[in-house]
Amino acid sequence: MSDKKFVICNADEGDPGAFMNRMEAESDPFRVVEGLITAGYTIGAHEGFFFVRAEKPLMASRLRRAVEELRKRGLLGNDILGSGFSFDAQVILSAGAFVCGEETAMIAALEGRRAMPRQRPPFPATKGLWDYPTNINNVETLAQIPVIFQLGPQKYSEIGSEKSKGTKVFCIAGKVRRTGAAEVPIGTTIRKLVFDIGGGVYEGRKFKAVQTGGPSGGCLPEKFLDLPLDYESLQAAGSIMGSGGLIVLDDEVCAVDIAKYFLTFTSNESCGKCAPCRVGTKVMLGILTRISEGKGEMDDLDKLRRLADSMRETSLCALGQGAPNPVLTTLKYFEDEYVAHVREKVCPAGVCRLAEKSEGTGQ
Amino acid sequence: MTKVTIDGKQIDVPEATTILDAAEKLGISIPTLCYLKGISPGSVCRMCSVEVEKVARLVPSCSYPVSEGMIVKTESQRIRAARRMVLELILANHAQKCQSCNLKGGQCEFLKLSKEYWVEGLPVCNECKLSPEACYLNRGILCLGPITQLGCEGICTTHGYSCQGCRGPIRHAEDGVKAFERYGFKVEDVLWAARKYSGGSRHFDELSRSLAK
Repeated sequence: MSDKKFVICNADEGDPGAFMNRMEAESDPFRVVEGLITAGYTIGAHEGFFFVRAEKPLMASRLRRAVEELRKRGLLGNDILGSGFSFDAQVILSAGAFVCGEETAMIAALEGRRAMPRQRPPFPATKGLWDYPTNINNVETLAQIPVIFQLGPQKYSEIGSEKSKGTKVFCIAGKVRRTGAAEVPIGTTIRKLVFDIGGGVYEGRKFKAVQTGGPSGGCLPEKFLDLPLDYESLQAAGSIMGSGGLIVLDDEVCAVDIAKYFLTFTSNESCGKCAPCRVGTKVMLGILTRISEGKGEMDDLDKLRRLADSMRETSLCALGQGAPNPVLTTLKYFEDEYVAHVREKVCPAGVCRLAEKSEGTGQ
Repeated sequence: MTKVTIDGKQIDVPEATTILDAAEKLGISIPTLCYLKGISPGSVCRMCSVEVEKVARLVPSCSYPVSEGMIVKTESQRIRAARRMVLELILANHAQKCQSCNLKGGQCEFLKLSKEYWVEGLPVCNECKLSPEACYLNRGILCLGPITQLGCEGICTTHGYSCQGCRGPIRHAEDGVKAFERYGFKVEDVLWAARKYSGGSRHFDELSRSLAK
């Protein structure tokens, strides 16, 4: 093991409908920098990086200013406050792609290579940035560190669920009255977030589902409203916590269309390195488009499931492994809508423009 | 040294050996496409995926290092399904390139694996032993090779007779039919010729219907 180590703060937040990192780092950048310094002190690293998404320039400039300010006051740099511990941090702008948020792709980007994930192991903790051990944490995790010190571990672990302690910021977006970020204890139910904090769906509309965890997450229907939002429950329901985005969907949204939307995103953002993700997302999007245009066959639903299973098992990184999740969950919980598109050539929500019923085929 | 078990056989290998290398020492072959000995593995094609006990997903054996007590399986229904899907996906944007490819007569690893894993959708052209110059289509003779399911080893074409499509059209043959236009054939003529053997088949029905749209 080498003596040189790095800590990186992953602020490459790219999920559609997620802005919790931005909210935290923009409103209180010092909290995040303090978290990074503490992380560096803990593992014995002397250099840290903030990897900030280029599309969020305010976050970058505020973090940069916080770093400069701390440097001026001697809280960053050589021999901090005479403790003998030296640590410096710098803010680096992301290369721009969604996949840069994947830790190995992020390391590649920091090293100046093309931002593509690589196969793990070796994990960054043993062989990371320039092959040195690297610790990578999200903005949110680092922002919790000062809070833990303030409250003390005892008091902090009183918050949250049995297995996951503390709070989590959720971003409520979509067809909901009050959109925004809300910090709640882990284990809060979806109902509380969507209806109490988000104010519910608009007048006259009906709640249909909520997409948790961004494009790699799942679409959970009404029966999961009382599901506690923690890592284990979400995984059991076929979704993920992910970044913590909650996209609320009402009855004006079509399940096929929303799956198509997320697949369009992942197929555009797929880096193209491994075959299952590169071709799989494209083929899956093709099938979904076919179904949404009324040209689908019942066979296609089976094909989607088979393809999704293989992509989950064989893709290189979490982007490809998570990409089928919106399709699988909508197919599981809203299968009747898919069937309506295929058999009756109608979109129950009235979103998809289906082709006229085929005529003149002699049937 | 690290002790691993692959397909029930035990072996001691140096630390950081990959599963693929360890399997090779045991005489177990794992199919690969993007792997090239002597060059750092890309883990890109996912053809060499194997099952490792206590790991949730399949892992690429070309880059995955062995660890003490690891138990690996290189053949199972699950692995076969995943490998077959990988081949099908690669084929999805490759099919029409086989016509002009110079790798014939069993040199193509992809073709070999596609046959082994029963991948549908490969045309007779992939097995045809004729050179591009000798290709019937290039000589202006209608040959149904590009849209016919392989498996016949291209007997007719090697014996001076163009493909008549007796094995039926491949799935998604629409693109193949359109490719005939490049050689100056009309779509109707191609369909007429294909009707000889496949006129009653469901695949042909679907093909002609989708072309009529």
